[in-house]
Amino acid sequence: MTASGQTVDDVLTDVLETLRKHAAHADKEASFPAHGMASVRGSGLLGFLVPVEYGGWGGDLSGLVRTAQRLGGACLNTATIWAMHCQQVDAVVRFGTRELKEELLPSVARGETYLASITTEAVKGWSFVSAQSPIVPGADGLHLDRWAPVVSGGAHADGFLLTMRAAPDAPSHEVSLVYAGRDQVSVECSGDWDTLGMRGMENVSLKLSGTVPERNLIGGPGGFRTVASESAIPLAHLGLSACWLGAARDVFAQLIGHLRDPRRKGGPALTSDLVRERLARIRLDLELVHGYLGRVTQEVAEVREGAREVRAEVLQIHLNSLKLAASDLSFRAVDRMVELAGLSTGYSSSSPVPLERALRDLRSASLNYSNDRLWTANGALSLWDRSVTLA
Amino acid sequence: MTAPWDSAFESILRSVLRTLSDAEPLRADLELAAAGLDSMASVELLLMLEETYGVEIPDELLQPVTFATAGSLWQAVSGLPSAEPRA
Repeated sequence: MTASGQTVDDVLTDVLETLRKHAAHADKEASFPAHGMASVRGSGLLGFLVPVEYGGWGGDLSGLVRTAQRLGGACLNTATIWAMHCQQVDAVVRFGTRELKEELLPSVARGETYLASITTEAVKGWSFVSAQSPIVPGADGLHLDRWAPVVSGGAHADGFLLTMRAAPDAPSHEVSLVYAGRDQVSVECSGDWDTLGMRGMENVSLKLSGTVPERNLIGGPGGFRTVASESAIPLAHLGLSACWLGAARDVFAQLIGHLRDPRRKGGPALTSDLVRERLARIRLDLELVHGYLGRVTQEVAEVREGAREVRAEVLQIHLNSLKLAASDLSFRAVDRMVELAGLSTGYSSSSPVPLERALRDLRSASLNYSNDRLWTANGALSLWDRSVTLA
Repeated sequence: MTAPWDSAFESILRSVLRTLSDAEPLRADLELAAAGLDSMASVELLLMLEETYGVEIPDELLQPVTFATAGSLWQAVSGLPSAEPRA
């Protein structure tokens, strides 16, 4: 609850209505969901994870995944942008300097500062926890000069969290995370985002250069590995899994409404055992993702609060498993809905149930931080955990 | 000072520490994480050590403190029963 006494549910109704209204437009035009994000900004939800002392909601991880699901059901693009923003906020809250928090967080809570992430680099075998472009320390601060091939919402963000090599003579695995406000640096964006789905993400390539004060370092020099394992990686997997589940769940609700509509003409017979089995299989995928999402969210929260000890490798297996399950099963559920609904309702962009869009959007889930990499990582990590510590 | 470990250990450790050049000595107090040992490389290291020395490294040793430095890792491995390199 905020200082104004509002709860998330109080503001979500209006936000969800706006998101639903404009989701198809962002998809059709492959443009940033400007109306949706304006609504999110106005609602104060950018400050969901901002502590109350800085004017935010002081939300926790279970609230985050609940809200991400609801937003994801209305507009998966806006929900994903919001979840990624919250991931940046969490890093600042947990690892930012006091000065940076005082400078940045109140404006995030007011909806004035939307944060994007710059972690990609154009190198073969790129890894989330390595970086080539170095921070160059100078008398006036930290010089940044960074090019990134893929930045979600880069043309619209008000500030960026960048991964950079810690120093010109540091190895590529010694990575610092640093904040750069759009007003502190020069930013050039280019790109032609025209994809099968998630068309509103408007991913761009981005060149950023400028100088920022040392207080903008998040997690200290070379501290990104800790920020990644305690904040960025868990928040990314929890947030996006929740968004995908929310999208699949909402479209399933709409499909059931459509199937039960007495005015419906044609389509599957609800008395058919085949139809019922298909419905049950869809439901099962959603149940499994929902249950596991809740379980892993609770585990991460307890570990972060120090209430529980879980070996780092084991927690990583659980987070990777969540991402793998949520991306595969949410997509499979929607694919089965398409099969069940048939050509006109399931496969047409003019269908009353936006299954076609959900199918295209969720096809990206396995590609977003590639599942191929997570499968092999989890296989290797499983060898490490002979006692098979399940979530 | 001669290295406290055998050549097989040195060779295995160097193969996973890609940032350590051949010219640099492998010191007992070398911090492995700082030298680039991440969780994936740790798994490769574990498998190679078990294979080479014919041992099973028990779960209780799979802790950050074991993999903290070259010296701490050697101490753990060499303390296991039948930790002799296979011919």
